[in-house]
Amino acid sequence: MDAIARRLLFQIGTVGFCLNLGELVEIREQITELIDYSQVDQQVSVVGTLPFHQASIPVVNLASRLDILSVSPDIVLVLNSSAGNWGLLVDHVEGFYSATEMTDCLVPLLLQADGWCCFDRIALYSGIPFLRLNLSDCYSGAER
Amino acid sequence: MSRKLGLFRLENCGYAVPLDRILRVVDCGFCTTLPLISDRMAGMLVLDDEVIPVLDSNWLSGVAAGQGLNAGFKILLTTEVGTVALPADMTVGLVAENRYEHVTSEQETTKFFPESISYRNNRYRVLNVDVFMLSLIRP
Repeated sequence: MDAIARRLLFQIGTVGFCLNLGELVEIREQITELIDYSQVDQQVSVVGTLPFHQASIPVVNLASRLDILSVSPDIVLVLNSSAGNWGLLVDHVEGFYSATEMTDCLVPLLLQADGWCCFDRIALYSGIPFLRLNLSDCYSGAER
Repeated sequence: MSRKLGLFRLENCGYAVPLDRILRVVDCGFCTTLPLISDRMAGMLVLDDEVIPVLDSNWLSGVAAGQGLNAGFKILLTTEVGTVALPADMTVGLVAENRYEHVTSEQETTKFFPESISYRNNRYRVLNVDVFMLSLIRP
């Protein structure tokens, strides 16, 4: 099956997001105690590092940058990018769904952010909106 | 043809919108929040696979912010930037021009609300939809 044709739906706080399955490497749960919080880079929302297959990957928490209330996220989505693997802290994983079951639309002009943003489209699944993350805007690794 | 106005209330303020700008009134006491939106917006409403921006309550002077999300009704307007929803606690009805009285005073005239009317002893400020929407795009 084509991985791009499926999407992962998840939540940061109470806000729904989605990304293409092809961008996902692995889902790690109950990771709070595994994160090394000594390596922080607030400028790019890196809150620590996570051991991952004999390496260490940066863990990004977008909640504060997006002004979302996220009390105790305990799941990391390991994602791939040109900068290598990195982890995104999330609160809840809804599951995998076919992209053909979703309707994509642009974020309306009045709802677009003035400055930095990491989504410009909304995927509607059964009428419920999920923001489509642009991973390169979430973390590029270049700033580190 | 006489102008007709849709009359609504939010908190203790009454407002009116020309009928030709009203697409639909939705009985819906919630909407979905969205990160990083301007403080004049409350969130979005999804109707028939369309994402509709919902204004917060502070667009109406005299009403505190934060009431837009849970206001019981959303008034869907057709505007130059697409469909936009205004929050309302109450729908009063539609009135024709010969059923209300013009009561505009200089003090309460603004570019968004160039006129006010009185209907059954209540005041309603008439929204200039185009000027108001333009201010949201270019504050």
